Amino acid sequence: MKPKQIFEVALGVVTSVGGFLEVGSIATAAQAGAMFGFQLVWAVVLGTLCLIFLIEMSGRLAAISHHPLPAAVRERFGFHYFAMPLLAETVIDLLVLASEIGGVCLGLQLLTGVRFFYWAVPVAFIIWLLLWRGTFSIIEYGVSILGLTTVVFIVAAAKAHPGFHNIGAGFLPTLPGDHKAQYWFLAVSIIGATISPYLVNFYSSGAVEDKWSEKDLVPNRLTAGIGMSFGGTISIAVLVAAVMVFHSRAISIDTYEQIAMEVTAPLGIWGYRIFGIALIIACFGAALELSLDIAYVYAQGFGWRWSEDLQPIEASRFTLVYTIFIFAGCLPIMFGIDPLKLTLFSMAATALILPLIVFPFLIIMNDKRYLRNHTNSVFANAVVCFVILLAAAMAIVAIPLEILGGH
Amino acid sequence: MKQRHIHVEYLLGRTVRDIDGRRAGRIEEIQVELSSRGCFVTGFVLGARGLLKRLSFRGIAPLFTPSLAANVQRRAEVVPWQQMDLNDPKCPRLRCRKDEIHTMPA
Amino acid sequence: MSKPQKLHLIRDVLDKLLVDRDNVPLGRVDGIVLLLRGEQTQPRVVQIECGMVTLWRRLSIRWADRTYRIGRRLGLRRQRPVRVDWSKIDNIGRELTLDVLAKHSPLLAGERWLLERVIRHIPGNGMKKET
Repeated sequence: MKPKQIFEVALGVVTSVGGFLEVGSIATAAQAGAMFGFQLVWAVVLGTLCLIFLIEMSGRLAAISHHPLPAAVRERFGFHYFAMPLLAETVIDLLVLASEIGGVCLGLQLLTGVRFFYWAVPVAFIIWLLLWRGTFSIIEYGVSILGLTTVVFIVAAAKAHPGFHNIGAGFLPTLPGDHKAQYWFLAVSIIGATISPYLVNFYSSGAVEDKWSEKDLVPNRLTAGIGMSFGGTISIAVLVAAVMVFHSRAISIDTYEQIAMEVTAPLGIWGYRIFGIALIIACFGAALELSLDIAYVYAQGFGWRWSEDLQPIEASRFTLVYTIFIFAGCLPIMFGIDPLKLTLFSMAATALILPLIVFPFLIIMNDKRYLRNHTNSVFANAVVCFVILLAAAMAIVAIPLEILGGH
Repeated sequence: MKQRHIHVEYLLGRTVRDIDGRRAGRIEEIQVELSSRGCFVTGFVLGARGLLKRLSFRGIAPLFTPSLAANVQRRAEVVPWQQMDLNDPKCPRLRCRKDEIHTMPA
Repeated sequence: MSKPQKLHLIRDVLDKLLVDRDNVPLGRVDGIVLLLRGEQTQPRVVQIECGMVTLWRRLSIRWADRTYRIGRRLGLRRQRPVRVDWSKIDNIGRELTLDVLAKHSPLLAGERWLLERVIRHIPGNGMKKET
């Protein structure tokens, strides 16, 4: 690889890390660590592995066909099919966006002491302003590089000396003695939070924005593999830190403020402040990506002009979608809905729509008209089939588990 | 018959019955031919195989079973336009019996 | 005009992206109109159709008509779908290229309406100040 490509991969990896960790992964991993020790590490690993494959495929599709995923779904499956993920993503992305805005507001509450719901409108306005005035590079790199502050969780986990054999044991699924419904609810939520549909769509749209071509296939593979693995490692660090702080003392997590203890206990008051900043940045970045993602899905699906690099006057409908979306997303937080409960609900709900998002991969990634001679290998197809089955199983159990274990 | 306009997208997925009322299949694809005079319909692809062909199922069929791949690769059933009655687009009918269809290459 | 001789209407035309001569997106092919002239005449594709009404009707004709009636009672005007003559299609490939310019196309009427009524009144929209 040329030095320029190595730089692009490094930047891509940083972006993936920045985009990976958001309020959902933090909340679900922390809850899992506090309640079940290292027993749910496997869920983070499984979700991350699935995400690596899906991200690589969506990047490959964009690089070869210059078609982002939603456009390919509409063209290949028709409007009847496209309408289902469109509706599902609209609802779920709105819930997740509200959770992310809640995460930013909670970070601000931790740093300032001002209650989170007062921050909802100003935060939404800043998100909108950055999209209205910013370019794709600013969103992609600027916020994501700042997102590296989430590395604080790795530092906190390492300082707590958890013992690698303990973490390693969590790679294999084991059932807990009791609270089985809550265990599976958290497993589904972790996988739902990790395989976020918006990440997949955003990545393929970003590849089109960055004008990827066939020569970007290797960087794409590396970015997906290394970037997502690094992101998964931070998620595991959140879980590990939660085990060391909460599980060992038999404390359960009921509020976001408690999660801050994960880094405050090993790192002191500075850890608390860095946690607040990391939460703000990670959730702010995810909120930007989510808002852009839903505008991408609508614009690409309906054939409108779209690009974050276009001025609002050049893509009115595209900008209108994220404008409506952002202000709708801040409403639940403004009315004081508990961001932690909203996050856990949204992550489990994401599992409901995963089959709709993953199934098209099986058809599109084998279509030579889109991918020429870069269609899926037998192994990649087997992985997609596995993810579809996993997603279908999760979709079936998500609601019953929500009722039985979602409290 | 007066000239009239119908929508292709509403025909998609409609069940076609033959003159005896027997089910012949769903319309899954419409074949057209372009010439200097315009774009003319040549045939209607019926049945699940038409749908699989439209979705390029051939690409993933070997994943499941080679015989399925071969089956999808076979020519889909195409009803020539002369044998399709679209007077009522909600209930398209064949102008012949199901077994009298002169299938044409897809 | 570089069109292939044989086409599959659903696979190659329906739901495909429409672009103008300069590759500016104009929307997608939401519907295709056939002309029938009796039993002995070959059905002909005469127009393609774009618009939310067409899409809504594709999901459910009954519900589309019901919402139309409710809208009419509320005094809302029905947005007519835009029809484009088949002869305007210049090329059928990954996208359908129309022999039109986006600036003048009725396909972008919604985009222009939004721009004039909403976007241009919000500061920082990228519109250069008139001198």
